Order: sequence, then C-alpha cells, then structure tokens
Amino acid sequence: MKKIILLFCLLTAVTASYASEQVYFKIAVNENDYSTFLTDRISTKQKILQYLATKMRQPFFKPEQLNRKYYKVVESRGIKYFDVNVVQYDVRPIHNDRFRHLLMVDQRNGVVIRKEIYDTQGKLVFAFTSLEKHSQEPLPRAQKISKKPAEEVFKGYFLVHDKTLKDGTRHMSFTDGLNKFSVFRKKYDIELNTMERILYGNYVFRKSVGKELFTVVGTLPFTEMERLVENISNLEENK
Amino acid sequence: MDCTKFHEMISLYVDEETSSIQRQALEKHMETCKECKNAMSNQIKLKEMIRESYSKTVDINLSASIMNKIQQPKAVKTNSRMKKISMFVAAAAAVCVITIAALMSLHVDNNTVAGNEKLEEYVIEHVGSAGNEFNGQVESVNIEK
Repeated sequence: MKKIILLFCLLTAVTASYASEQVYFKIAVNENDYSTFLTDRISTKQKILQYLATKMRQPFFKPEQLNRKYYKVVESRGIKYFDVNVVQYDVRPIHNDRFRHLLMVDQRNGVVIRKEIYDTQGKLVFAFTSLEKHSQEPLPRAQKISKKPAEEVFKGYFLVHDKTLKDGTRHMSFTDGLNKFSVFRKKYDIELNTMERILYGNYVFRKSVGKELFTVVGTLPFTEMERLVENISNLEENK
Repeated sequence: MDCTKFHEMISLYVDEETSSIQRQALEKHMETCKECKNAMSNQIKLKEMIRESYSKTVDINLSASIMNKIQQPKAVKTNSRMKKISMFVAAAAAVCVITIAALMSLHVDNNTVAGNEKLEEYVIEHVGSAGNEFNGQVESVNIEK
C-alpha cells in the first residue's frame, strides 16, 4: 500500500515537472510490442509506463564523461533538428558488451533532444524526442557531491545504489555514465528456470544460483548479465 | 323421371347415412322405379363382396406385433450400457484434463509470483534508483579519455 502511495506521489511529481513539455516516447514493453505516446496525452492506464519512460529519459549528455575504454563515440555536427542546431553522438560499445546510444544534443546547452537505445542485436528498446523548444541560456553546471569518489567495480561500472528492500531483497545499481543495470538478490528456496525477458525498455535476466534468486535489470545483453551473476561474489569484494 | 337426386341417395342409403325423410322418399321412389331399385341392389351386393373379402384376410394382431418389437430386452440393454460406459469415459477424461490444467497453472503460478509481477516491480525499482544519483556520482570521477 505504501509503495502504491509513493509511486502515486512520484507520478504526480514527474507529471507536474513535465506538464508543460511534450515528449514523445517509444518503449519496448516486451519482446514483440512497443508502446508509443506523448506525455501529455497518455491515458490513466499507462501511468506506470509514463513514469518509467520519463525516469529513463536522459535530460543532459556530456561526452567527456564517457569511459573511452568501453565506448567509441562518433560525432556529427551541422545537423538541424526541429530548427535547432544539434550534435549527433553515436555511442557504440567497443566490446559489444552494453547497449548503443544515439543522441541528438542541443549545441547551445547540452540538452538531449532525441535519444535512441539499441540492444546488441540492433533492436530499438527505448527512444524519446522532446518536442518543445528549450531555453537558449546555458544550463548551470551540476554541483559536485562531496562524497568519496566512486570506484570502478566492474568493466567501467560504478556502484550508485545499494539498499535492502522490505522483503529482504538486496538491490544494487550500477552505471558507467550511460548504461545502467541493477542486481536484485533474494533468498529463494525454489529453483526457478533461467529467464530472459525484455520489459519496459530494459533487459531482465533471472537465474537461481544455489538458494538465491538473482534478477538483473538494465541495458546489458543477456550474456553479460549471466556473467555478472556467475561472478557476483567478486563484485561484492570490490564494492 | 329424373332419378339423378335418387342415385346420390342410394350410396348414402346403403351406408345408412340418409335422414329419415330421404329414406322414405327413396323407398317410395323405388316402388315405382325399376332402374333405381336395380342400382340399390347392385350397391348392396358390392358392399357385401367387400365385407367378405376382409373377413378372409389373416388376422394380424398389430398391437401385439408392435409390443413384441419394443420388448427386445437384449438389444436395449446393450445400448444403454454402452452409453453409460462412454459417458463414464468422457467424464474421466474431463477430470484428467482439468486436473492437468490445474497442476500446470499451479506450476505457472509459482513462477509468476517470482516471475512477471516481480519483474515489473524490479524494473520500476531499477529505473527509480538509477536515475537521480547517476549525475552526481559520475561528476566526481576521473574518467580515462
């Protein structure tokens, strides 16, 4: 019940923040189907979809933040998109171990106007297009957080979130600055079949290992997710 | 003499279907009309001949014959027994199908509990957690170029 209330509040907040902006989303809801919608024309039944899509939207992009050990970036300039001068960034994984991102960024302020995410098979899993004209003023620089710098734990990924859910499931989130994934780890006596799914623009991998159930969610191919699960103990040591 | 109307009455008279008035008129007419009298006589003879022909026919007891055919004990019992057996088999097959379906659904439910419902929750949890903190953390890291 509390989760529903929290989700409702988050939905309201997200909806309010984007109330004045029209953003077009296309999201792979499963292996075969897509859902496409404008944020201001979405029906009540798709509110969860809207929440997910707006949270997955990347408002800004700074190519210097990318780890060039794992990504190759191709810039294209001189492109106009909806009368806006944009730079197109084609960010491809060097080792084919994470998803490709294609971004169109407003040259003036670094705002992402359009983004497409493709899996390693070339299937589109998520896309959005911002249809509103943005301010010409440069964006304020993001404040640095006075924390211990994050350390790379796994192939360019950093731990950004680690908590235990109410049902005892451990949830850890990682990001490399562009692609993200989460590992959910739960004690589960029944051995379930290994499962690979596409759900709401994310790959979902589930596997029983011993008496634990691992679920990995994110923009990684299934082979990488399986490798992760198998080496999870190393990941914990390096955290 | 016009005997047309009397000719019609003759067959009715033989079948005893005339009224008393018609009978009296016809009898009075036949006292004086030889032709109608002969016609009457022929009609009566014809009726007798038909009656005799039926009396020589074999007496068929239709009701007994029908009842005998109905009461064929062996054939009727076999049919109803087969019907009962086939109904029992159909019922047993239906029970088996329902049981298998129930068992399969239980098996599927097991997976669904930790399956699709949980998966959706995990996606929501992942997306919700990976959004905001990402920007701040990466800002503070030295990335190789």
